Amino acid sequence: MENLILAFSQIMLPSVFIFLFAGVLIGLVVGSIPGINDTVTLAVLIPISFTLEPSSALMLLVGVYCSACYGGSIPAILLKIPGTASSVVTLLDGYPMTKRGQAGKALGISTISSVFGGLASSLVLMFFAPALAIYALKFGPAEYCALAILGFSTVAGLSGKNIIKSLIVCALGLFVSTIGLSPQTGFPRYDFGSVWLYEGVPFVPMLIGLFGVASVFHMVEKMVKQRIEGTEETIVPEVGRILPNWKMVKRLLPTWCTSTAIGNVMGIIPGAGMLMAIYLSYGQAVRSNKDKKFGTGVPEGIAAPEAANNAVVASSMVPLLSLGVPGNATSALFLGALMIQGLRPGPALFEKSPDIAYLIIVGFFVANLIMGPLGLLFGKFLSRTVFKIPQAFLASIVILLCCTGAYAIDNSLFNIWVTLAFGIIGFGFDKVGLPHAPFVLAIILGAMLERGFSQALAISDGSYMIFIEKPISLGLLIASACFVLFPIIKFLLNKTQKQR
Amino acid sequence: MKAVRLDTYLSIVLLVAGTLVFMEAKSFPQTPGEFPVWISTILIGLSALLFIQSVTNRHDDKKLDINNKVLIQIGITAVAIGTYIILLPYLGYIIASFILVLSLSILFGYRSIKYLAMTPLAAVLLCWVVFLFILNIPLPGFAE
Repeated sequence: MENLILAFSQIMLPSVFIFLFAGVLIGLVVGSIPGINDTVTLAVLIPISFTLEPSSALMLLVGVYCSACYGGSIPAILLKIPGTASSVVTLLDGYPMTKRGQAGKALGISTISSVFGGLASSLVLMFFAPALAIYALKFGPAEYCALAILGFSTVAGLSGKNIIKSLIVCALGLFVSTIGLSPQTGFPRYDFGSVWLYEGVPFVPMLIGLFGVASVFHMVEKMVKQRIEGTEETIVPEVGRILPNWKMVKRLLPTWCTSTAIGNVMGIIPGAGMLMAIYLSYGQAVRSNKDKKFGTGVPEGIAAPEAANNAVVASSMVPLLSLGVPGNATSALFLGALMIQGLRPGPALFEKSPDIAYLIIVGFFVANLIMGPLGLLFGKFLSRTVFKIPQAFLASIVILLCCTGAYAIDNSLFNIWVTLAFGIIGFGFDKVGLPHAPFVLAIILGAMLERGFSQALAISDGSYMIFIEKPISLGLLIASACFVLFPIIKFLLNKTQKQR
Repeated sequence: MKAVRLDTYLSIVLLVAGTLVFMEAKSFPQTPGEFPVWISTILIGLSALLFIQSVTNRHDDKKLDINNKVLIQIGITAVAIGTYIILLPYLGYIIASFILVLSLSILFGYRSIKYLAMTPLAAVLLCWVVFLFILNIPLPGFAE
C-alpha cells in the first residue's frame, strides 16, 4: 500500500504527469489514424524515451498504450474504418448509430466503456498481478486450441440471418489464415510464388481494405444514387449528446462488467490477444440481449468490445510485470523499453525497483482517468469536423488515409494492393450478404487453432485425449459446446411448444 | 438493375473455389496440407448446403442490387488506386497523393474549383507531416 501511495505522489509531479498526459493525447491521435496502432507508435517512441528519465519515459508509453486502443474506435464509429484492429467489432453497431444521427451517443458509450474496462483492469493489475500470471502460464497447445474453438462458438452471435453464409465466411477466413508458410514445417501454401505472402496476408492492411475502402465504395454508391435521383444530401447529420445518461449507464453496467472480466482473462493469457477478447465479449453481449438486433446500432454492441479491449491493455501487463513474459506484441515492446532503462521485468522488479513497478501500475489507472474527458473532447471535435467535410472530398481523403496507413505498417506497396483487393472483397461481401465479422474472427483464430491442434497432437503422440485430460482445455470445450448447443436446444423446445 | 439469383450463383462460385483449394491442398505434403484439406472440404459442403437452400427456398434468395453507373464508378476508383500504387515510387508521396485525391474528388462530384485548388494539397501535406515528422514513418520520396 505504501508503494502505491508513493507511486500516486510521483505521478502527480508535473515532470511525470505531463508525459503521461502527452502519451494519452498521442495515443488518441495515432489510434484514430487507420493503420497506425499502439505497437507502431511504441516502436517509434522507445528510442525517443531512451533520452528521458525512466519514470517520464514509461509514463509516456503507458499513456500511448492506454489511449491508442480507444482512439481506434473514433474512426470506426464515424467512418466505419477501424483505426486499430481492436475496434473492428465496435463499428458493427457504432457506424449504424452514426448513420442514425447518434454519433455523439456512440462516442460517449465508447469512451465510458473504455474507461470502465481500463480502470477495472488497472485494479486487477494492482492487486492480483502475481497470482494470476502464474495461472496464465498453465496454457499449453491444447488449451490454446480449445480457446480458439471457444472463439468460433461466438460465430452464432455474429451471424446475420443466414447461419450457412456465416459458416461459409468462417471457412473462407480459415482459408486466408492458411496462406503463407505452414507453422509446423515452413512449407509455403497458396503463396502464388510471391515472397510477400510467406508471412501470410498482412492483417491490418486487410482490415483497412475490408472496412475502410469498402465503406468508401458504399459512399460512392450512395453518391451516385443520390445524383441519379436528384436528392444530393446537404444536411449535416446530428452529433447529438455525447455523455450517456444515467439510465444508459445502468443499462450498460452488466455488459461492462462481463466484458471487462473477459478482457482481463484474455489479457492475462499470453498470446490470447485483444481480438479474441472483443469477439468473445461481443458474442456474450449478443447472447445476453436476445431481444436486441445487433449490428443495427445497439449500444451494448459498442460497450462490450470497448470495455473488453481496454481491459486487455492493463491486464496484458500482468504476465510481463510479474513474470517477465510479454502477453502480446505491445507489452513485448514495453519489455524492451524497461530493459533500455536498465530494468528487468519479473518478480525481481517488485523487489529491486518497486517504485518503477508500482508507478507503471498506477500509471495505467491515472491514464484511464485522463483518457475519459480528453477522449470525449477529442471525439466531439473529430465528429463535428468529419460531418462538415463534403462527402465527395471525405471519400477521397479516406482513400488516401487507407493507402498511407497500409503502406506505413512496414513501408510496403504490397500492403496497399492488399488493402485494395480486400476493399473490393469487402464490398462484394456486403452485396451478396456475407458478414465481415466471422471472416476476420476466422483469420485470427485459424493460426491459433492449427498451431495448437498440431502441437497438442505432437505432444500426445496423436491422442485426442489430451484435449479432455487437461482441465482448462476441457472446461473451454464444454463452454464452447454450451454456447453452440443451448440456442439450438432452446429453438427446438420453442418449436415443439408452438406445435403443441 | 441486374436480376441474378444471388445465393444460387454464389454457391456455385464457392463450390468451384472450394474444389480448387482442395485440389491445391492435396498437392501439399501431408502435415501442411491437412488443415487446408479440412477447410476446403467444409467449404465445399457448406456451399452445397447453400445451393440446396437457395434452390428449395427460392423466396429467400435475393437479387443482386447493383447499378451499372455505381459499378463503373467503383471500377474507376479501383483503377485509380492501382495506378497510384504503381506511380507512388516514381512520383513520390506528395505528387502521387495530390493527383489521387484531386482526381477522386472530381470523380466523386466535388466541383468547387476554389477548394479543389487548395484542400487536396493541404490534406496531402498534413498527412505527409504527420507520418514523416510526428510518427517518424518514411513515405516514398520523389523518384525513389
